[in-house]
Amino acid sequence: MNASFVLGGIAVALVVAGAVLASLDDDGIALLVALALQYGGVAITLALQNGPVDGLIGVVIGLGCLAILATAGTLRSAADPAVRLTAGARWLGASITGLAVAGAIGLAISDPLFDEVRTDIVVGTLVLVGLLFTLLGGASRLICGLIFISSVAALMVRLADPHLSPIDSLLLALVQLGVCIGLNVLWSPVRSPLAPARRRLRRTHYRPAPPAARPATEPAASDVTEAAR
Amino acid sequence: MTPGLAIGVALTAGLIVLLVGVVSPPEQVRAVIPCGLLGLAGIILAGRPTSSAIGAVLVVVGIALALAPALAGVSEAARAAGRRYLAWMIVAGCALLFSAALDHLQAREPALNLSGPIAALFVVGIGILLAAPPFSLWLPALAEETPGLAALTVGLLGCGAAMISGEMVASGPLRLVGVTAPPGFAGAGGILAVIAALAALGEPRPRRSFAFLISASAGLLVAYVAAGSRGTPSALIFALSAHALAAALGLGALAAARGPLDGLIWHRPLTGTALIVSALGLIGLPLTAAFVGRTLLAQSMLDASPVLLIASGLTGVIGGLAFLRNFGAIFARIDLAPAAPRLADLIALGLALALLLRGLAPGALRDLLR
Repeated sequence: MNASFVLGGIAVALVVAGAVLASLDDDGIALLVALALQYGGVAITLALQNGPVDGLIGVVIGLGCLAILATAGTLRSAADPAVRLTAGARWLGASITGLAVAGAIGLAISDPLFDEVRTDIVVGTLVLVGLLFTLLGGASRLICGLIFISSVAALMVRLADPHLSPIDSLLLALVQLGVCIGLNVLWSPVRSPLAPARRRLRRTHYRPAPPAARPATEPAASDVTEAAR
Repeated sequence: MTPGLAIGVALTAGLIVLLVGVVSPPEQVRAVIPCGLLGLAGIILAGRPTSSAIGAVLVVVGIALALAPALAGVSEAARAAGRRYLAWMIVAGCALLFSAALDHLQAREPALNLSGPIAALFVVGIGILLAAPPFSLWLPALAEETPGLAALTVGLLGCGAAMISGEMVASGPLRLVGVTAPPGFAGAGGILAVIAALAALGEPRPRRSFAFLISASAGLLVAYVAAGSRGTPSALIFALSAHALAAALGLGALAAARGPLDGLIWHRPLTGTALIVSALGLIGLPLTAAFVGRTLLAQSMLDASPVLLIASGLTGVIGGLAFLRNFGAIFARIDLAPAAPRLADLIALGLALALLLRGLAPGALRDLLR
């Protein structure tokens, strides 16, 4: 059993583990771990197919994307406690992810694109799971799905054209980071779409502020009513 | 892509950025100007002589991503529309990248037979960029909330789609479209364009209705591309850039109007005229460049796809009714005196004249760019 066979298997395992974890848990830390696993799988695939330099580039881009997502708290905001997935929804997601992985394995065997079947499984899994996540709904799954798809698109470009020009390589990296920045900006916790719901939640838990003191010259409504009586 | 065509598309993008910069309200200018200039720089970069198909796609995806932050601080509704926009743009970029990557693989190993997926992914990606139905769910809300930003988005992405098509005509996936695209794509595109025109007719809010008109026009263009009636590369680029200019001009005029549209043609005649010229182009009536572009693409459809031609006619009729229903109020007599022409009015009129000039004498501009 040679090293590339083992590494290929590890890449497939990392990507599948990332997809299953992202479908099972919508907690911020779990999602970051899931994304880290898939970035690791993609980097190993790149290293095996195009050489260690491309693998290193994949690692650097993955770390950059994770840093952007972790520091801005996008995934924490997306996985808001008020709208956590129910247990049924999680198991539904996990079973659909399992089906997508099985479909990717079937496609890799029946219609291989690359020399290595393991590369086909990585690409197929990320494409199918990414598309399913965008269709399943839920902010955390949508973000994960979009990142999966953008990651596999970059992987495909690198695998299809190993001699990409430097400017195109730079653009590819910038686009991957840009996806994370765009997701950050529009899903950031500062102006989350759930903010009104959170505010309503807080109002029910905290005592409302006392009303402002009325001006001395103006009679209160109750005084006027008393006078009328 | 020839330098003349690239310059023409870049000029169109520059005019769109200028218009949007002028018509945007002060609180949005700080977000619009940097994003617009970045997008313009991207369009110029995509049209550089050494650009590749993958490079052009990457630049246009970069432009789409750069426009997203501008939507973040406008309002909660615009932010929600921005989320939809971002999700669609990521999917579009990935579809186009997949198409280009599969094309590379196909060139390396001809035995793979990937022509169908390459063509289908290309058509879907361009359709999303142009906001063709059913990929245009983000546009109506954005046009309603921030028509200026919607104009910038539609205009720059339309110019970007023209650049990508220009790069892909010679050696990329576009050579395969029409030959290998799934047979239902063109007919489905035509039917969806009719549905978008019906949505424009049924929509009571003018700005949203206008967004549906843009979608209908984009749907027809994408259907023509899918059917293989691209004519010459310059015809396709001409049609896409003219559509982008007409769409951006209309949304820009709506942004400049800032309020009820009653009596717009009497109160602000220049803006009202620009809106009418833009609508003429989107509906597919003569005199504008958008009509010429659509005709150039449709010429080879006479025998190939009569269903698409019928859909094109229906879209035009229903779109015209929608414009009259929702924008008839601009001809209403009101007591307001005509306002003094503003800079935004003059630029909108200039763009309307450019659209008319390109429609009346398309050869003159082409000769000038050569």
